[in-house]
Amino acid sequence: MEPLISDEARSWVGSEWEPREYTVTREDLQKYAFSTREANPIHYDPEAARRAGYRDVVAAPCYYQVMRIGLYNLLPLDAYREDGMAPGYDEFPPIEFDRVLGAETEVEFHDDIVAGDVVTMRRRVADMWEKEGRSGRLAFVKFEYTFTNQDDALVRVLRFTRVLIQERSK
Amino acid sequence: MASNVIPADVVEGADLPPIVRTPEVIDLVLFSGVLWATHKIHYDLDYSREEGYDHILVHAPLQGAYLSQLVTEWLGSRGKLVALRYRNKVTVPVNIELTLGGRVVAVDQEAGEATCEVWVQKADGDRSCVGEAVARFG
Repeated sequence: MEPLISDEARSWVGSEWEPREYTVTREDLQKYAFSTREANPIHYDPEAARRAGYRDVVAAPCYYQVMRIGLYNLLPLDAYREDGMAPGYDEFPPIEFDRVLGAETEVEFHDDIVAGDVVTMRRRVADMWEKEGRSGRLAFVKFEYTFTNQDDALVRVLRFTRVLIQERSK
Repeated sequence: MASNVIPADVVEGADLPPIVRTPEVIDLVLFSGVLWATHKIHYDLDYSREEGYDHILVHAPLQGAYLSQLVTEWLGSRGKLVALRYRNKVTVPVNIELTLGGRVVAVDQEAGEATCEVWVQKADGDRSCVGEAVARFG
């Protein structure tokens, strides 16, 4: 049987997308904090943040999610597919699959992200492998995202593995 | 905000104080809006049914955010979440009570670092999300 991941697909390992910039505002941090029912006021109250030693409102740990998803999805509504997803949100190597799921999320939390920061997000394909699963053949694609601020300090690293499933009947 | 964890209490087998969350429609709509997470399974029931679900579904990353809060609430202001790893195992419908739980599985007192097993558990006992967190305390 042909491997699920062809040489052409495998050649995507190491390839990078154009870096994207995101300007972090106090209001954006507040919205993220409230939508996740964050209890710690340093993530929405500037005074509490300053008392705790921060320059301004500081991002909750998983705030990088706003950049990971929003930076590729922020398009006019007419651009979306029937399922509501933006084209380009999920860009995969040329692998034939029926459905896609999240497999594993691994995050490293480095320097703080504070209101006013300008964060640069870089996305690359870090690894790819395949195996047989109960439901069919599985191709794993690990994306690595690095987030740095305006001083080139590393703020977050995300390794997000997607699993592309080719159903058994194929 | 919880008070700071006492380093002497960070021992193997110690439980993290659980947190209960019941994400409602407003939680999902606002989280979708803030992330610009546009997949309709999170806010459009008719569409969600087309994908074979009976409900709209809680976002996988929202459960990740909850897990980070489980650890930061336990640590208090002097601690820091260093790393978090998780897998989403089953879908979670809206309006279901979720208990966030965790347990210390390894401690390096000298470095002031603990590794914790963490999870999101549904009322039926199924764990929808499981993972591991590394926390610096004290």
